Amino acid sequence: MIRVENLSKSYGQSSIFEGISLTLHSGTISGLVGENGCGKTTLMRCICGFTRPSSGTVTVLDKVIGKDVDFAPSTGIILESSGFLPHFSARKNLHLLADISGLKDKTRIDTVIRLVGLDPESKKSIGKYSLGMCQRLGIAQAIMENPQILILDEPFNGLDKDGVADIHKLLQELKSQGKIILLASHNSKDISLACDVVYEFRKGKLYQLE
Amino acid sequence: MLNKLRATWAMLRGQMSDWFYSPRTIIMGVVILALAYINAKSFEKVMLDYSLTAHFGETVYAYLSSAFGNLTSISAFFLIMVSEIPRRTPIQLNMLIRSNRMKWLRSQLLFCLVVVLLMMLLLTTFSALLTMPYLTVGSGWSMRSTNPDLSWVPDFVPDYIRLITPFQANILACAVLFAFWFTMLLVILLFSLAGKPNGGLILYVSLLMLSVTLLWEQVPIWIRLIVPTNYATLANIGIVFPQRELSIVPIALGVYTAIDLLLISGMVFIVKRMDLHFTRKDKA
Repeated sequence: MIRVENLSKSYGQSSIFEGISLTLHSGTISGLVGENGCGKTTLMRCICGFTRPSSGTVTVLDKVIGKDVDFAPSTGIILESSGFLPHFSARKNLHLLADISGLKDKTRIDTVIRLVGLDPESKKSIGKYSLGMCQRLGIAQAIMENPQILILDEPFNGLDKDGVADIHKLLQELKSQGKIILLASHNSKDISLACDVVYEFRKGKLYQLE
Repeated sequence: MLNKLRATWAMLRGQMSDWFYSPRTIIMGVVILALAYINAKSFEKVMLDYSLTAHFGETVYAYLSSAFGNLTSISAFFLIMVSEIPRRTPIQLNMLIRSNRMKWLRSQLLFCLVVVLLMMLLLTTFSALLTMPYLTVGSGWSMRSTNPDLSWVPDFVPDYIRLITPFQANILACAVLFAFWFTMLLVILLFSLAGKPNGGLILYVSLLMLSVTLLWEQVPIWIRLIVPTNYATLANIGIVFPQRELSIVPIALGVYTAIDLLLISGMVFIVKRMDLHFTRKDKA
């Protein structure tokens, strides 16, 4: 479970959001919508532990972020950009990240690359990938360690129709495995199709949409 | 233990490869090698003009003790080459979520250490290769003119350095230059972590340029004594503390270590509290 309690974040005098509370349960896909710059990414960053909130707490899988752990445990992410080394191949990028997390079963890397519709044998460097291909690899990166939580910011960016459908299907499968999934998008249609619960940011406050 | 090493190595590899392929690194690398080439060629001219003999260890000493003949320019270009620490790339977030703040800081410190060692190794190898054609076989100190008419030519290596072997002198010269460049990178990293990425760069470029832009002789002696460039190379220490450099070097290295520890403590304090942003985009 992810529990956000009375969370506020401001940069100097400018407040991004105030007093946000939210609980995300296993086996649900939750969505965040709102205009650009409304605080979706900042909230996700606070949940991950990359951004320190001005006040309030985030508890992920019973660990308080910033107190018990630095970053959200067992969490796969895509934040803003899929984030890879452009001159490495897909497999090499994922191997590097797997070495950091200590993933022992390296065959899992090829499996997830295939799962998102890419070729694990390809020697092509990421710099030559299209935005959609990068996004698919981003999802492979997020799920390769089989985390309990997925935090995906704009996961449908750059994907064509088939790509969006593939990712929707994959998310439903992950949901059925009991994962906690949080998505953010400026496109409310993508979100409403994929999510069980949708929250909207309005003037620094979070509202649950019916 | 093996897993921890593998994780640190992977984070370092991620940082290094991103840095290595950056156009800024490549361009600055070429400029630095060009400066080293010019220095090696002028050194060769002096050797030939004054009929000096030189063993391999001595030429390496000549380069290391003078920061390859051009401390200001080489350090300034090196600064530009590595000014972006930590690397502002989105893969940092993917590495971080699999790690923690302290491990990430360790990988940044390791990056600084490896980059300085690589730079010294590259410059030493490159310059040493250029001196090969006019070296004489042998060890120990020679570097005196073989031409009796040129007995007035001052010795390249000071007498008090000749008290130790070229190998020992090289170790000392290496240690001093390493300490200067490593501290320089730590300052850059600290400023960057504190949210002022250009602060460290401006500070160090100013320090490097001080002795060039000011009428140095007019500056009070105590100011001259605290300027870090005076302790950047063995030759510079020799200029400020003539004939005392062998006793000053351990003190200078001790001060460098104390400063480094202070800088690292500052970084630990900042990293535990900071928001981690690595691209302009993810600041939103």
